[in-house]
This record gives sequence, C-alpha cells and structure tokens, in this order.
Amino acid sequence: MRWIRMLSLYFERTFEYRLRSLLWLMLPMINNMTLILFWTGAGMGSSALSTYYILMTIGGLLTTSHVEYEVSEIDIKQGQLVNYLTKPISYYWMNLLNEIPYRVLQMIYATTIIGFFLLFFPRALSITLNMLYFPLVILIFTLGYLLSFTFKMSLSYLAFWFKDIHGLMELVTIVIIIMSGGIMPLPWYPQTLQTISNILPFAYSGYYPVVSLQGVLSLNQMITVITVQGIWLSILLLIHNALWSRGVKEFTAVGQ
Amino acid sequence: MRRYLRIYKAVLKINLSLILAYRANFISHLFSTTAWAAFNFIWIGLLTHKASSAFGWRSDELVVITIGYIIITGIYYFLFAHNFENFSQIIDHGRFDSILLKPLDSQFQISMMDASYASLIRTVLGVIGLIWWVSAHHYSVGLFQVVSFIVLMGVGVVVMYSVWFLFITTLIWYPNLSNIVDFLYTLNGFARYPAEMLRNSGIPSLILLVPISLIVATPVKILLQKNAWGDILLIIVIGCTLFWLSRIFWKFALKHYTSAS
Repeated sequence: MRWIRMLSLYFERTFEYRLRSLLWLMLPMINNMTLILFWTGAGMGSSALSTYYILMTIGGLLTTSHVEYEVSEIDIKQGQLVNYLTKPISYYWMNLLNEIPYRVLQMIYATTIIGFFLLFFPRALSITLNMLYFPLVILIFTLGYLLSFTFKMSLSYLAFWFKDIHGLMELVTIVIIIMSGGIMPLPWYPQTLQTISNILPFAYSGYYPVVSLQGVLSLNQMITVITVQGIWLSILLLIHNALWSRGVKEFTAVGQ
Repeated sequence: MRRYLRIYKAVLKINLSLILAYRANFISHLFSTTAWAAFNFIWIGLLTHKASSAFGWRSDELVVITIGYIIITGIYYFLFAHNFENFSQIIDHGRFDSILLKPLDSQFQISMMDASYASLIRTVLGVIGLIWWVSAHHYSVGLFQVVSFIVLMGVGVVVMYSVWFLFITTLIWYPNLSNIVDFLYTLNGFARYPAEMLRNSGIPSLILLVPISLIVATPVKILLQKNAWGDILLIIVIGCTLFWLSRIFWKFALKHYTSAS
C-alpha cells in the first residue's frame, strides 16, 4: 500500500512540471534532427536512417535515466540521503519508483511523436518489426532502462568518496553518447569502436532497443541482446550493492 | 562606459580569486570542458569518417567549422553561459530584487557577474587545433583572413548572446523552466553545421535558426576564402538587430516582473 501511495505522490510531482518535461523532449529531437539534415546533405539520407534517429529520440526518452544529479549532488553531497536512510525502504527501489511517473510521461510523448509521424510523414518512418516480437521489444526496452538506471545509481555513489563528481559525470555522458550509437548507427563506426561498443553496456540501453523496435534484429539477435542485457544487469547490480554498502559507511550528514 | 569597464575588471579579478578558493571545483570544470572539446573532435571525426562532403563543404572544411565552434563556445561560455545558468535560481530564490535595486544596469548584472575561466581551455584547444589543421592542409591564410575571422567571431558571440538573452528573459514569466539553458546549449549545436544545411532544408520554420548557423560558418568561410560577403552583411545586420531586440524585450519583461521575496 505504501508503494502505491509513494507512486501516486511521484506522479503528482512529475505531472506538475509538464512544460519542463516537454523541453527535455525537445533536446534530443533537435540533436537528431540536425543529424538527419546533415546526412541528407551528405547524400546519405534514407527513410531507414531517419527512422533510426527518430526512434533514437524516443528510445532516449524511455531508456535513459537521469538520476545521477539527484543522488550525487542533492542526496549525498548535500546530506539529504539521511532522510532515506531512516526509512524502511530500499534507496534503490525508492529512486526507481520515483522514475516511473517520468517514464510514463515520456511514453505519452513518445506515442504522440510516433503517431504524428505515422499520420503526417508515414514515409519518414520505416518500421519493419514483426508484431509477434513486440513483447521482446518491450523486454529489451525495460532491461535497457534498468541498465541505464543501475549504472547511473552506481556511478552516483562515487560521491560518497569524491564529493564532487560533476567532471566525471560529464565524461561518462560523452562516452555514453558515443558508445550507444547517439552520433550514428553503430555499424557505421570504425571497426575498433564497434567492438568496444558491443562489449560495453551502453549500446544495450541505447542502440539495440532502437534497432529492435525498427525491426532490424532477427529473433536470435533479440535473444542475444536480452542475454547480454541480463548479464550486464547482474554485474551492475553486484557493483551497485558493493558500492552502496561501502559508501553508506563513509556518509556523514551534519545538522540534518 | 568606463565605469562598467572598471566594474567588469573587478569582476574578472574576483572570479580569478574564486579559482584559488575553490580549486577542486575549477579542476572538475576544467576536466569536463576539455572532455566536451574532445567530444566535438571525436564527433566530427566520426561524421567525416563516413561522409566525404556535405552541402558543398569538403570533410576537412567541415572540421574547420567544428574547430571554429569549439573556439567560439569557449569564449561565450567564459563570458556569459554560467550567468544564464544561475538566472532561474536568482528569480526563484528572490535574489533578483536585490539586483534590481543596485545602481547598475540589470542586464549587465545578469549577464556578466560570473566569468568561467575553465571554459577558456576550450578556446585554447580550438586555436591550437585550428593552427595545426590549417598548416597540415596548407590553406592559404593571410593577415586579412585572420583579422576578419576574429572580428566575425566577435559578431558571432553577439548573435549568440542576443539569442540566449531573448530566451532567458522568458524566465521572468516562467522561472521553473530552468532547463531552458540546456535547450539553448542544444540550439548552439546548429552552429557546428554549414549554414546551407538550414537554408536548403526545405523546412520553413528552420529559417528562424539561420542566425545561429551563420555564427561559425561565416568566419570560417572568410578564413577559407570562400565567397561570404552576403553572409557577412547578413550576420552583422542580424547581430545588431537581435542585440537591440534583446534589450527591448528585457526592458519590457522587467515591467512584468513580480517579486518572489
């Protein structure tokens, strides 16, 4: 019952600032739109490429977690974490619950965007997904989001030791943009960079959910992606738990 | 004018002493701004790995645009960006009233009280990159091109400032839209591309963004001795107009400000 009550409060807070959410939506849209225009000018535009970037916008909305600022700056550095340590609720699950309303809002935006393109620019979207595989796509997106969330939570716990990790966060953001196919589809990267991207977890919360929705992946490839996502999620959860248990011992909150 | 220059000199000194007081913060900021400068190099490297030309610009010329973008954003972020990041909080926490009460122009106070020295590393890296790239590709660059490049970069900074200030002014009505600065950082990204991209896009609404696309492309055209006289006139007219508009809009917005304190 308390989880439902908490969830409803988080929903209220999220839906109160809808205009802010809309502005967050426009950022990846602008970035990806400029890339579509660039490739068109380079003579390499195609409906498949436009679809990739449109879905990258939507995929980013659904799978990219932005929990790091709240956790590292507000909760750990400013000491607000003490409010959560005294509660009989897991900090990880509380933050995950906090993110759900935001994901729902982003899903509403994502559905609106897809609907808009299907109605007015059907040729710009080229999705060849077999609808029988749609449940797998949902699973890939869910695991992709959990990967992003768990990674960002674990990274934020470094603030227990280093206090100001703003510079590190910026560097990680850059690595994620590059390795998740945010600049262009991964098969277009130089071979070395492709290999590194396929080893790291970022492509499994960025690139692979997008191409699974696009219909580019076969059933076997989808199962492979899900398996790798599962492996990475297990590793990240172990890292998360280790960092949390050690980090909490370092934590001090004066005057809270 | 002299008074404001004296005050700004003092502001620069104070911000320099803050670096010494908050060294870890400065190093962290230096690290992140260097990372973003490196990201722009990687970004254009990946794009030109796949595309040999775009909109009549060769891949090596596209790299010059990116380097120009790194230089101008370093200067702009040093002078103005950090001030605008704080504006939402200044209004929300009621500190704007004390700014309005001071015997100093409010636009000056909002725009210029914070100088981010760490951002200058971007300009330094950009200039080094530009000198290396120009000499590696044997571009013929004379004194006229260099001086014109610097002057037009200055005009570009004025255009960028005016566009940002027009958007930032809306925070007086909507102080909760603190992520408008993130939106403006993204909008700046249009300056990384040739101006022809927006002109030839066939999307009428993108014409509004042409001023941003001219910011870097115009000085780079002069540097590479491409035909740019039309764009030079356009960016100077746009710069003056937008600066005047930003001032008018600011004055208009102040009449509608209701104090939070």
